[in-house]
Amino acid sequence: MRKIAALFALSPFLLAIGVLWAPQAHASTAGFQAGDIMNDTVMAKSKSMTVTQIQHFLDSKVPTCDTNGNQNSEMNNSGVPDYNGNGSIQRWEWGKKKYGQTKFVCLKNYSKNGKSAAQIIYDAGQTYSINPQSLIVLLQKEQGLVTDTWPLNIQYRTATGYGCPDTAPCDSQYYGLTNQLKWAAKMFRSIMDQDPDWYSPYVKGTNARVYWHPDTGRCGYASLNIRNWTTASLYSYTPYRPNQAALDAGYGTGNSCSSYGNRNFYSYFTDWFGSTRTVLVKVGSSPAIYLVWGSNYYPVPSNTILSAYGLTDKTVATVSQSQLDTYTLGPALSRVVRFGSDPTVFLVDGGDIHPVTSWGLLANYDYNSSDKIDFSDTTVKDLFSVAPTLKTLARKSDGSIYVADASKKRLFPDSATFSTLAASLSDDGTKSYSNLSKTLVDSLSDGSPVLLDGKIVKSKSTSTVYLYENNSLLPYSASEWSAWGKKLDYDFFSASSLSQITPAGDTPGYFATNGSTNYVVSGGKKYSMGPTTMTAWGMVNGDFDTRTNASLSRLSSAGSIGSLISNSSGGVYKVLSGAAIPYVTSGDFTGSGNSWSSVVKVPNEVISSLDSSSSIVFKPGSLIRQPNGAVSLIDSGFVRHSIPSMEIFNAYGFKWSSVRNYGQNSLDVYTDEPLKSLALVSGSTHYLADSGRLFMVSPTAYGSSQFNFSPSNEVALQSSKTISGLDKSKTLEQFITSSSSPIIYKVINGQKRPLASMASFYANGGGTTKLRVLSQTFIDSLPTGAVLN
Amino acid sequence: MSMQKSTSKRNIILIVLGAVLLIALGIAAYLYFTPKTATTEPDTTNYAPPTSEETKQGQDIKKQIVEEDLSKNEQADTPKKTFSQQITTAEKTDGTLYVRNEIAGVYQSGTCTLTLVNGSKTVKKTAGVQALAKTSTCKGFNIPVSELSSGTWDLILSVTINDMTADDTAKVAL
Repeated sequence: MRKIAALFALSPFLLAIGVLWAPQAHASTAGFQAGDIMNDTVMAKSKSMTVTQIQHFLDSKVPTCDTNGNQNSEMNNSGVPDYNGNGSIQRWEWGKKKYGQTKFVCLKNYSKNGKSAAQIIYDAGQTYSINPQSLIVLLQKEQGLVTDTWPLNIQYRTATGYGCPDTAPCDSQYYGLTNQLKWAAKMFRSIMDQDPDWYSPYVKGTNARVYWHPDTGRCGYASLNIRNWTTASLYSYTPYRPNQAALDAGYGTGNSCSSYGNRNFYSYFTDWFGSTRTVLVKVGSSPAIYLVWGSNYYPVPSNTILSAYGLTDKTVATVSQSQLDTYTLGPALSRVVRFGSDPTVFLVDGGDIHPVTSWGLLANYDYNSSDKIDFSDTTVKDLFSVAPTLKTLARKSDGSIYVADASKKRLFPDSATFSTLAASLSDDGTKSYSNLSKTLVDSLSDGSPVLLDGKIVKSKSTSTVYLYENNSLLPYSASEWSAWGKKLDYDFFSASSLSQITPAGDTPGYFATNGSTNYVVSGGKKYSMGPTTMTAWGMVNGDFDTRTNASLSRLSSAGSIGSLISNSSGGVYKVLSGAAIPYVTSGDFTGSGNSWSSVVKVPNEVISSLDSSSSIVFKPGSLIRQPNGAVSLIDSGFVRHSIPSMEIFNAYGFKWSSVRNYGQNSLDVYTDEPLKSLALVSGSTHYLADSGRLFMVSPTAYGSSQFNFSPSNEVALQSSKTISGLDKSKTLEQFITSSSSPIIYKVINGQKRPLASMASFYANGGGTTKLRVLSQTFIDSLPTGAVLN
Repeated sequence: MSMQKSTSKRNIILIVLGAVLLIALGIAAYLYFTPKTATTEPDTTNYAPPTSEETKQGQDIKKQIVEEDLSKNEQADTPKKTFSQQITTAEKTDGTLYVRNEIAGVYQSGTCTLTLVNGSKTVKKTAGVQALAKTSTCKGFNIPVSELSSGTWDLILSVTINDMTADDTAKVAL
């Protein structure tokens, strides 16, 4: 309940919030034109307000009338008695002393012969076809009557100041509000109509001496072109022109040569009723619109031009042809203008004029000298704000920036591009731009966008993605785009703008170079390829497409690529001599000593670019049988050791179950070094294959003092993996025998010397751990020496 | 407990709705009572109370009026002995030489004599005096250029009002 009561208590304030949300007009002396204070159209607008509206306006300017003069007097109270002895001088006391007046009638309450002041003002306007708003302003600027909360009777007597010279008493024949308004309106109308019985000191279209101040000798005058009859009538009424100090002071005080009558007329009218100059007119029902300025009128050819001149918010007054004919026809408005004898050419846009430094620069905006019009009336320039010199860099209100280039607009797609390239593309080598309207900029057709090298783009209406570099577009295939990481920087260009960039006869590709480092492109990364790998890939420098560093920077660096690659379905290859040789099992891959981390997944197209091969990569130690029956032991380095006989096969202890069958060409890439019973493994360890095992042969046993083996009878096995899994548990000893003979031999100097007896065996250094059982074939291969006792 | 909470919440809603309604009524009242212009053009009239600057300017005007009125009343019985006038316009436009002046003071009658001299040539025109709002002017002079030869003319404008005379001069090139 209390809250509801509080709401009601607040209700007046809440209502006030709503009421005070009213448009507030605030103007200064900005726009004051001494030679064109008000134009004829506005002064002649007799129907601008109804009586009711005038009354409402007068009511609004005096919210509370001090009818009884009870407020303190703001006048010079010197000599005014404090009649009521309250210690201060009230207005009624002042009025009583000076004028015998103690009651005050505000303008809003004024009535004479049954007519209100609003009615009197309205009637004078209708009688003489004068804007009642001008008459209201006249009452204020002459007597302060509109805002006065305690007007004196003398103020109504000379309400418009008519018949009141500066330094003499007023002429009483003009006394009274009605009379004053009538004579003022009549004078305005007579001068505007150039009534042959009415002369004025000022003539439209002439350069008149208009003085600054009544002290004409001290303050002097300036020559002023009087541009219309209304302004002539205003100076005829109040013959002084406000100087700059008066204009700068707003409603305040200027300097000793300042006059305020015409300034106040302009300021009050602008603040209370709007512009004193209707600049746009049309004749009757004709749609053609004209700009009226000074003594000329100019056809407005289009809404675009209207907008360019900043006039779209101006109301269009309807006039008669005869009224329009009082002005001189000027050229149809254009965006390209000059004023008077000033050689400067301007481009008009959004109410601004941009000075143009050259026709060449303007041509970028698709305008030339044939578009130019000349305003002989240089005051038309007051319509505009002077903007900075026109630049080829143009910014629209939405923030987008273009460079105007040969009648086209080229978009900077982002701030980074603008920051980097704008200066190089601008007319003056700087990044300064002109703020221009959407209409002007969009009137230019799309040119190619401004792009930095390495940007990846597509149009909004097509699907092709391009790499941009060196003023060209390189189209990606779907796979290439994927290899380049499916990046996309801009997808909003029109197809027509992109089509203006030269298409390159090249694609971004999978093999790229910056001239010093070669790369394979895959998965958004770049893998450097060194000389060794290039040899394995069978590639030369010319196989790599030169790309800019900017383009290559779009790829993250991923180290180097070797000869192990995989395709999209996981197939792994070894690249050798330009061919991609597949691994068929993961065991072959890992058994070859490879790490999965060394494999680089590449696009299938990269693999397709390599020679295909029927060969297969097998791990060392693999036993591969070809359809022709040949069996090979696989070594590393693409070496195989064909097994020449079952004897050798068995000597090594190979198992048929380990043999894998592949195609005849599966070993094409391998170099064959036939397997022998004697083998040098990894260049360091000798073995003798016999009886299904490998006997390690020490250097002593190998040497001439014992078995005297020859390297020519030996096969080199590259990798120890070749014999992994085979029995290598025993070393070759000097004492040998076979399972088929009881004779024990001691091998000395390459000869087998039979031992006469077991005693001889032991006497010659033998022992059970030193006796080796070998095949009879091997034993028979050794020459026999003398018996050892 | 829950019934008290719902009642309090309802009151808050009612208060907010009430406030919105009152503000809306205020806006509606403003729009209703703001008179529309008789024309179809937007009404740009400022119906707000005067600003302090506008009011002060009005007060200053009033003070000046009162001062002038009171000082003029003291001079009321003192006849003027002199007046001034200045040529304001002396320019040829569209085949006509316009010569205008401004006379300080409001006079219903008088005589203006314009003498134009170019070497040995002299042209003289006369006209009456017309009262304006705060000054006066000679009723003339629109002189067809055909009446004058080319060259530079000296203009002497002499105005006589109530036995007082004031002169001003100008030059005009034709």
